[in-house]
Amino acid sequence: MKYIAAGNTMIDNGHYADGRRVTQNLGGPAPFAYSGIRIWDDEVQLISNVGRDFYTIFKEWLDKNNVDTSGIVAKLDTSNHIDMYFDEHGDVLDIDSGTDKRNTYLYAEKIGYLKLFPEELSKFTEGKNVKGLYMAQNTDRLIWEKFAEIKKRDGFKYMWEIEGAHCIAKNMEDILFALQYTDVFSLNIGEARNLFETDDEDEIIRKLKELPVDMILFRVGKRGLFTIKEGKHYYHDSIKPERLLDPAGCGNTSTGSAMYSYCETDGDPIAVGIMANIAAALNISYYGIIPHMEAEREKANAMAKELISKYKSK
Amino acid sequence: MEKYLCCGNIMSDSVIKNNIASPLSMGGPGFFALTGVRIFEKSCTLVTRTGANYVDDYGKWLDRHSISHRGVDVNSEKVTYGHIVFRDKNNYTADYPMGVELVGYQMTHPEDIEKHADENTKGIYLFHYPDITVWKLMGAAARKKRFKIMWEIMPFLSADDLPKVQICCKNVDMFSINSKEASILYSISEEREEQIINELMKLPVEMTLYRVGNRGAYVITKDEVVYCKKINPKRAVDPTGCGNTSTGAAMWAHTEGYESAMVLAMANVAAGYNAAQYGAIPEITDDLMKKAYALAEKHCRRIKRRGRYTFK
Repeated sequence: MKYIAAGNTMIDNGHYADGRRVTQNLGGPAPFAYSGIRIWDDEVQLISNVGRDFYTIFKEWLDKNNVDTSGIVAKLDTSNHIDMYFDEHGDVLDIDSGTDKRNTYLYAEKIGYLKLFPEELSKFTEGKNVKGLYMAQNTDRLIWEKFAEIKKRDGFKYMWEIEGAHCIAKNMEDILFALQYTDVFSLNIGEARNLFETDDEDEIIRKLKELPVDMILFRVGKRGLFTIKEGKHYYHDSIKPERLLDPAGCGNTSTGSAMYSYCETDGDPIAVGIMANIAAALNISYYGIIPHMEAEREKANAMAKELISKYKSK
Repeated sequence: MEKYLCCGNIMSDSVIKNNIASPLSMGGPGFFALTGVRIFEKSCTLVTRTGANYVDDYGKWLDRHSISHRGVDVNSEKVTYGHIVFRDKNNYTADYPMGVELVGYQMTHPEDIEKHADENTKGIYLFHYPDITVWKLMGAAARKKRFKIMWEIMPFLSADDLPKVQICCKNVDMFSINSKEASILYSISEEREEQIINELMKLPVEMTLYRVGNRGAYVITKDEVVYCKKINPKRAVDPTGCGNTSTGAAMWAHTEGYESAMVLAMANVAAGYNAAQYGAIPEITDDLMKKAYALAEKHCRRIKRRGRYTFK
C-alpha cells in the first residue's frame, strides 16, 4: 500500500448541544485519517488494534468501502468507547467514558493497551514501498527511537499529529527530538497555545516557523487552517460543508488528507491546505466517519482543482 | 527459558498513610508475583513491557537473584509509578502521575508470553482483564506449550463481568480473587463468605486462591476448602502487593503438585514476607528460602490439623 493510517480506533457516542445523541460512530485518529486519504486514493491501509466488536459494529462500512482489514487486529473483546459532548459551536466540551471511576480508569488503560507498538507497525512498512504514513503519537523518546529506525529503513514520509496531552511547553525538548523524524507536523490551536504558552496567534505562527520540520499543518478550528513551510505561512479559510452534523475527527481527517497531498504534490503548501479543508468539510457532513469514501472522490477532486487554481491566481 | 514465568506490569509505588509518603518502592503485579515464586523456586523469570530505567532497580534485583532479563521488553522511557493512598487497612485509592494510558501501554499481551514460553515452561502467572479474546489466546498458547496458567483478576469489576469470568476461566487452571472483587462480581456481601466460596467452587478451574485481606486466604478446589490466617514472619509494614505475591507462590505450589494446605501455607508465607517492608521482598537468600519453606510446612500441618471446611 502506498499510504498507511495507523494508531488508535475509537467508537464515539456524540452528544450535541441541540439534544441530538448519536451512538456508535466510527472514530479515533487512525480511521478518521484513513478516510482523509481514502477520499483521494484507494491505496491506503488502516493499521489499528481494536476490540472484537469493531467487526460487528462496522461490518457494513468495511464491506461497502472494501476496506483491507489485514492490519486491523482484535486484541480485546471491546474497542475503546467514548462519549463526546459538543457545545452549540461544535467545539468539544467534554470527553468521557462514563461517570464512575472504574470506567475512567479502564478507558485510559485500554487506550494504552490497544496502542500500536512500533514493532507492529513495522510489519506493514517493511519492503512495501510505503510513500507516506500518518500516526498520532506522544513524545516518548524510546518509541521515537524505534520508529526512527523503521522510517530510516523504509523511507516513507511521516505525518505526526501530536497527542494533545503531550503538546505542552515542558515537553519542548522531546518534541524537537521527535521532529527530527517528522516531515509534516500537525497540531491545533489549543495545543499550540499550550506548547508556546501564549494566546497570541501571530506569535504562535512566528514560533511554529522556527520549528525544524518541513511543513506544519496548524488547525484553527472553524476558521480553517494554516500551512507553514520554509518560513512562510498560508491561510486557508474553512470550506462550507453540505451539512453541519458532527465535528468529531475533523482534525484527524484533515491531517490524513494533508499527509496524502504532501506526498502527491511534493509538499505544495497550497494544495495541502486546500485538500485538508475539503476532507474536513466532508467529514463534518456525516456522523462519525465518511460512509462511502470513494463516492466523494470525483466531487473532492473537482473542488480541489478549482480552489487550488483560484488560490494560486490570487 | 525458566520453568515459571511471572507476567504483567512492574510499577513502583509510594504508599501514603496519614499524609506521610513512603519512598518509591519496586512493585507491580508481575514483579510481586515473581518474588512470590522466587522465595520457593529459582527457575523463574519476569515477562513484562516496561521503561528503560527499569535497569536502575528492578534490573539490579534480577541480577542479584540470577534472573535473566530476556523477558523484559523495554517499550517506553520510564517505568510507571503510582501513589497508593490508604484510607484504612483495606481501602485505598491509587493515582498514576505518568498517566494510566502508559500503564496500559506497558501491560503484557498474550503474544509476549507465547514468545517467551518454551518446552521448559511449567506455569505462568498473569494479571489481566476478564476478557475472552485475551484468555482464548492464552488458553491456546497453554495447550500448545503445555503450561498451566494462574489468572489473577484485575480490579474494577462489576456484576456484569461474571459471565465473562466464567468463560475466561475455561482457559485457565488457577484463579485468584480477593473478597472485595468477589463480592462485586457475585453481588454477595463480603460478610457472606460461605456463599461466595460456594460460588467460587463452581468455577471451571483446578484451584482458586480466595484472598480475604488481613484475615488471610482460602484455597478452594472442587472437593475441598482450606483456610489459613495471615502469617507474619516479621512485623507487617505494608500490605501493598501481598495479593500478587501470594498468588505467584500459589501458582508455583499448585503447579508443582503440592496439596491444598501447603499451597495455601506457601501463599500466606510469601505474603507475610512481602508485608515486612515497603515494596517487594528486597533480598531472597538461600537461607530465606529455607526458612520460608519450613514456615510453610509448619503452617501446613496446622491447617491439616484443623481440617477442611465443607460448604454445601
